[in-house]
Amino acid sequence: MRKMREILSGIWAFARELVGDNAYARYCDHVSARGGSPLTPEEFYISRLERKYSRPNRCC
Amino acid sequence: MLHWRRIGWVLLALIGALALGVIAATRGEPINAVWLIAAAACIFALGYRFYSRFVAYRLLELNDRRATPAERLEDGIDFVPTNKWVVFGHHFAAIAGPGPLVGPILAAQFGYLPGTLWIVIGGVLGGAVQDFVTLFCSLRRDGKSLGQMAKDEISALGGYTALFGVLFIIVILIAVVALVVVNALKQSPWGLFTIAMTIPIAFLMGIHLRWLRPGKVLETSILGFALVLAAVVGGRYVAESALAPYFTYSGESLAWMIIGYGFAASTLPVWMLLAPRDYLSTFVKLGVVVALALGIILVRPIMLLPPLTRFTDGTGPIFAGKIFPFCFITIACGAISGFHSLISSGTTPKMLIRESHARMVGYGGMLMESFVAIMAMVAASVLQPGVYFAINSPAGVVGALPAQAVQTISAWGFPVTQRQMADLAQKIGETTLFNRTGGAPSLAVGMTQIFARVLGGPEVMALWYHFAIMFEALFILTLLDAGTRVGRFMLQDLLGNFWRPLGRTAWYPANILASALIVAAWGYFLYQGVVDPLGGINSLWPLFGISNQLLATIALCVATTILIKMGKARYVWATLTPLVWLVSVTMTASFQKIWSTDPRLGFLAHARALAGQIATGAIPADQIALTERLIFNDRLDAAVTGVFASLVLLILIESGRHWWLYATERKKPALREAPMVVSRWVSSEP
Repeated sequence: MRKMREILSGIWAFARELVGDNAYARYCDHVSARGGSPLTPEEFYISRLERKYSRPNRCC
Repeated sequence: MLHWRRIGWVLLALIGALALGVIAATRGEPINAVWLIAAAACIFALGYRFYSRFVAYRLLELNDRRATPAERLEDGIDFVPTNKWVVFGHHFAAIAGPGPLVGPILAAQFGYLPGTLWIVIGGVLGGAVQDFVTLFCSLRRDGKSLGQMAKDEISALGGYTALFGVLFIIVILIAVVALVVVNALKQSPWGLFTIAMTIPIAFLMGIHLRWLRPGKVLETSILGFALVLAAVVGGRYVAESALAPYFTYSGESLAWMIIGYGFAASTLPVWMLLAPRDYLSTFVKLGVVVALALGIILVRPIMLLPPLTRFTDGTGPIFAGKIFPFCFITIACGAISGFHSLISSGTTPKMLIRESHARMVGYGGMLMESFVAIMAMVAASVLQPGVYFAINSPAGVVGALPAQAVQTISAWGFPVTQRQMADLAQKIGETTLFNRTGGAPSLAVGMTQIFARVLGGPEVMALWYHFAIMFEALFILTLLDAGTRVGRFMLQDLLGNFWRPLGRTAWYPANILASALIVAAWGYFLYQGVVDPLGGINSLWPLFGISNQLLATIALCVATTILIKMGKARYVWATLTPLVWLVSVTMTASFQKIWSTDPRLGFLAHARALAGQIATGAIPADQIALTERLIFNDRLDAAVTGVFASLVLLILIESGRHWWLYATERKKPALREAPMVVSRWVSSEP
């Protein structure tokens, strides 16, 4: 049972990583390590989307 | 341990050989799809193990001591060191669109064998090499784009050719995939309701992601998926209710709706519609691909389509032309797709932690897409051939009335009856399945036959069919949104050279103008496809294939140039072989589409035939305006094909000139790689 729980939580963590749920936390780590002040979650989310969809990111 | 591994690879090779032997030896009787899947899987595994290793270490000399852009330029936003499986997932989700599903379905008119061989051989020796080498080149150049690399490594002319090539392919790509959606949704209230509902669902997801739970994509996607499933189920009740007429439209009306939608979607804030729909479609796409693979393994369906059909002679109803070159133009994504080079030189190189990961992501990602294409071929092949042709043949070829269509198709040697088609349409909840050119409905019927045998049986076929249509239309519309937006940015970049304010992406009037121009460009081609009596696919899909292979030609020219500059001229056959093949295919197809004297094949011949009919009075007075428009469209298509072919020649001549200068030592090769910096992870695992 515990093994199953570990597997499921691993899959969940991988899926979160895949879709970018932890992108903001990673960004904050990066900025605070350099002594800067990070954007708010909303600002970060919007700026990330604007950059992502300004270049080809989906293929035929 | 090493011995066991070797025995494993030998066993894999034997299984692959056995599967190929069964496919080759079977004559005149249907075979099980498992043999096709086994042969492809074994060849892909062997290709990955041996050929990609050769490319990685002999040709490219991947070096894990060298810091990647993700490490050197880490900014927490674009340049982010990422687990290789996550990068693989991102890359695969980005490269795998409707192409590997629709292309094989259309190419199945030749039988399953030509397309399958092209997917397997083209994928291993062409597409995967292109993706991998382009990714490597970008990785060594701080994640530069293909256009920038063409400019830096070949010349400014090469860079501009790439820029125009990308813009053209975006326009044609959007037009052709929109046509696929129109043909799938016309006269289908259930399908249209489901797809229409994805718009408010995406709005809800966008609001949730922006204000309620910023950036929580996974939970929002699961929520959105549940709502979309509810829309699929609810579609049945709408289709059977008094609301049905509000969701029942002709192809022309749907084309106008999609044009309006594309304009609105590209001008709305990206968080509101585009991004949430993209999350949703990626979620559904990956899930359905996995489900289809499991379904084929569990059901082990029999392939009813013959390995070769009579249409290898070039007289096919879906598109005209012989196997060479049209099979290789029709299946681009799935075998070799130039568009992938934009992804390989986009986000992916900015995420890799080690150079060696480029092998799995670039080469392995493409093989995964090739495998998706094989599954699509299986889905087409499980249909009765008569049913496959009845769904995919345009009215202009087989006749607008069901009785005419079944008579023509049966006379070709693929028996089908009106009753059979009516029963099938009734089972899947549609009024008719005739003249649904474009690939999406036949893929959905094939998938339905597989899924229904695993879960639910014949009673739920209608649900599975509309789920499959929703899956296809969802990511096609996402591609339409994203492509229009990217096209707008590229156009503004160009227009900014003439008048600077037009280049400002934050200036709303400039956005509106650029969006309108891009939408008008693809909207024009879409509309001409919808009103084309030959179904539109006959003219638009080859244009798309040619433009896609134009981009592949540019990518392979850039790759070859860089390899020569790296001092790897003895190995350039690895990129030159697919390049020579693609140029032969593209130039032959372009020549035939422009100059062939067969009116079904050659644009100009078709225009002449129509003009002749007007001159002899064979066209009724009320049809003359339409016919004149068709003549203009044919000439326009011929001109566009000519432009693509000229761009292919231009990049080839420009690259060849540089190769000659390097070979004769008249020019010193200057490699423009980022400086070598030793990775901090050399001695410790990240």
